[in-house]
Amino acid sequence: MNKTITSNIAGYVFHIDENAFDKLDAYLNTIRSYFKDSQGKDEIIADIEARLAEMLHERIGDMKQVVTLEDVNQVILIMGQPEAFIDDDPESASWTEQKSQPRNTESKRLFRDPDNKVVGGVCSGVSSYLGIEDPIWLRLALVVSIFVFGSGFMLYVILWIIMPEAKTTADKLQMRGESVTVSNIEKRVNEELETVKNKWNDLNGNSGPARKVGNFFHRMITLIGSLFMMFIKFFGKIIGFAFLMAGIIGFVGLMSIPFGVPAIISFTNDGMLSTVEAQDILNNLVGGTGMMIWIYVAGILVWGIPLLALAYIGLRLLVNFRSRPKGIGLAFTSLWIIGLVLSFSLAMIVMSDFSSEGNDTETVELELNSDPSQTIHLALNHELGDDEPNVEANIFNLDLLAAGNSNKLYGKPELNINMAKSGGPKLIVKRLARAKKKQDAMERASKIDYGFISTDTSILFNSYFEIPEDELWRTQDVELELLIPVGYTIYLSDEMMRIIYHIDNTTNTYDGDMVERRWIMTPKGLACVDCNGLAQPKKSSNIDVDIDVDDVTIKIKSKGKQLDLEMEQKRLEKEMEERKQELKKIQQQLENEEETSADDEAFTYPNEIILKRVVNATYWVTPTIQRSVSIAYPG
Amino acid sequence: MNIERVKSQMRKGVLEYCILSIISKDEVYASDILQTLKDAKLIVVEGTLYPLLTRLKNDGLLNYRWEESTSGPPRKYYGLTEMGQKFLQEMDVTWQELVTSVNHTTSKTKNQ
Repeated sequence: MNKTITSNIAGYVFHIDENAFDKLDAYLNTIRSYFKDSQGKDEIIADIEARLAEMLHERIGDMKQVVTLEDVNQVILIMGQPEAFIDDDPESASWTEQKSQPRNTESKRLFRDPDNKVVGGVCSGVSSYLGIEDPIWLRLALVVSIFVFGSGFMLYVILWIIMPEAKTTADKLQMRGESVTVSNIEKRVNEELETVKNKWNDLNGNSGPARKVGNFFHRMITLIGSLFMMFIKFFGKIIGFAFLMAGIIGFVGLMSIPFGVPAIISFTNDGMLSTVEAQDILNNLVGGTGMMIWIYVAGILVWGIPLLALAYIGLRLLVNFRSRPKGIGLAFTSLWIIGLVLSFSLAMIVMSDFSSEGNDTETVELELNSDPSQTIHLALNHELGDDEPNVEANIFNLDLLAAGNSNKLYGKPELNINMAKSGGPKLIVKRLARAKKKQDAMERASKIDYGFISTDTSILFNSYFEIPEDELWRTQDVELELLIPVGYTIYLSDEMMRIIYHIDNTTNTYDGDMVERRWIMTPKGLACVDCNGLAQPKKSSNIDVDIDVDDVTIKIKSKGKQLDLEMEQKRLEKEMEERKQELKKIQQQLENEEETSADDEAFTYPNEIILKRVVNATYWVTPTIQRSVSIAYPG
Repeated sequence: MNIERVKSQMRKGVLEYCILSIISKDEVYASDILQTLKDAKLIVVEGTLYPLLTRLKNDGLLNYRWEESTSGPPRKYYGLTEMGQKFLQEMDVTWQELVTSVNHTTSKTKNQ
């Protein structure tokens, strides 16, 4: 089976086999190059073409509809090779001279050199094209580039496929024709200009004065057209070069992804440069060597083929090719479509692993100090120490740990604080993950590593949850809910801003303003105990207000543009006094015990208890009882 | 000395004269000329004819007109110009002289 081309040859319409057409086309091109310098070459070629068409027409009839390679070979045999019939008229240049000094000015073409080859003759062919004396340099460069992720190898194979081999003498002459240099390009441009000028002159001369006006626009259009074509030809080379480079660089980049290309580059907190590799991201999303290989194959097919096509188009623009590699386009298009289908299937497989959500919920009763009047301090536990994720790249809502070669993923938990409807304070830890089946999702969720530490007056939350190294990223998340009975007071440390998320309160205070303050759980929700800093004074009014809430007094006074806030906490003050007294007592007791150390019966406090009491006492000395804040407000 | 080369050069020398002679008898088109030349074994490959025709036309010895064809696109019919007629007459004379000279020379050498 053969593909046929419908072709108009000198007024006859032929169905002609593709290979036969290529042969005929090559033959006519050879003739054209031989008659390049002859006078009336167009006419000679037109006549020859007409005769070929006539002969082909005689060879086909009703029974035989298609011109085959055999037909073309026969007519070419009759017509003869141009060497045999060149008109060696003394006026025109003699062919024998031409042979020894090839004068191919514009038709230098890229061929593989079969006479001077190591593998496929690509290097020597390119060397000839570029006018490099010895192909050894290109060969060296090629060998070196093979080590750049195999790009040289790919390039070589592609060039081998698209470069035709120089088979005939004419091919070899064209291969060795004039080199592509700047001065030659200049010459070409001048030739083009000459053509444009001739066109202009022709049209001027041929038309009489009457036709001149009518033809003016036609002439202008022709001239502009010619100039435009020249422009296209010249800049086509530059665009071609850009395409070629973009294609090759893009392809090398693509090939090097599996070798660790940084996808995210960022600065760590201490100013160091950190990177997260694209490969790691993919690994966490897909997982498994088998799947990864398929992903790379699909990626190379889907992205690599267009890049190669770009490079090929660039090469076509840059360099003269005689033959288009048959079937390559079709093969690459098919491969590209296969790549698309593969990508789609892989995406479906990965997506299906996200289809069900599961959670693992655990409720922890907090053994806090039973006295609700004591403030519970909420703070972060820096469990990771120096290993804390230092890349602020937020991929999949998680922080990738850049330190070391660990593929571990860390995420930030979210804390909400609500009222406990019944019972004492408790913490609900809800671990979330996704998988294909709900059961798997729940199991995956339970593998999330998260912890906290609670003492009788404080809760230390881990600042990160951790996904085990062998686990994939499946939208893992940790939601924390702290339930506090009415009457309990909590204090949010500064760092808590990192994990608290939209905590409801009676004053609708933003998370960022909730930290470093004490909040009491009221039947209406969390109410701020020491939020006077947030009061918004009116501009020109003098304020002198005292607010009494339980045992706390807040005094607000305006002095011109200055606003003074004062706060007194009587209960704390009392408590402080009590504690101080207690501390003194303990100290006295300790002294007494030292004095009466011989008497075992008098030893009432074991060391541990005393120590604990001391710690508690000093702890309560620290918070300020009275705060004065001055705020300047614009006016 | 390549015998084939000499042969082809001798043929080429008289080719133009023969072409003009064929055209002078009647208006002909390329295939007719080719047929006559091939029958006379003056040319081997058809391609030889076309550069010659073009050159003779450019020298003003012959011209052509387009004629509709029943079996295909229009054909070129060649005819001699006035200049071509004169040129051919001169060639006729020259050829006769040449034949005589060559015959004379070759027969003489053979007889010796």
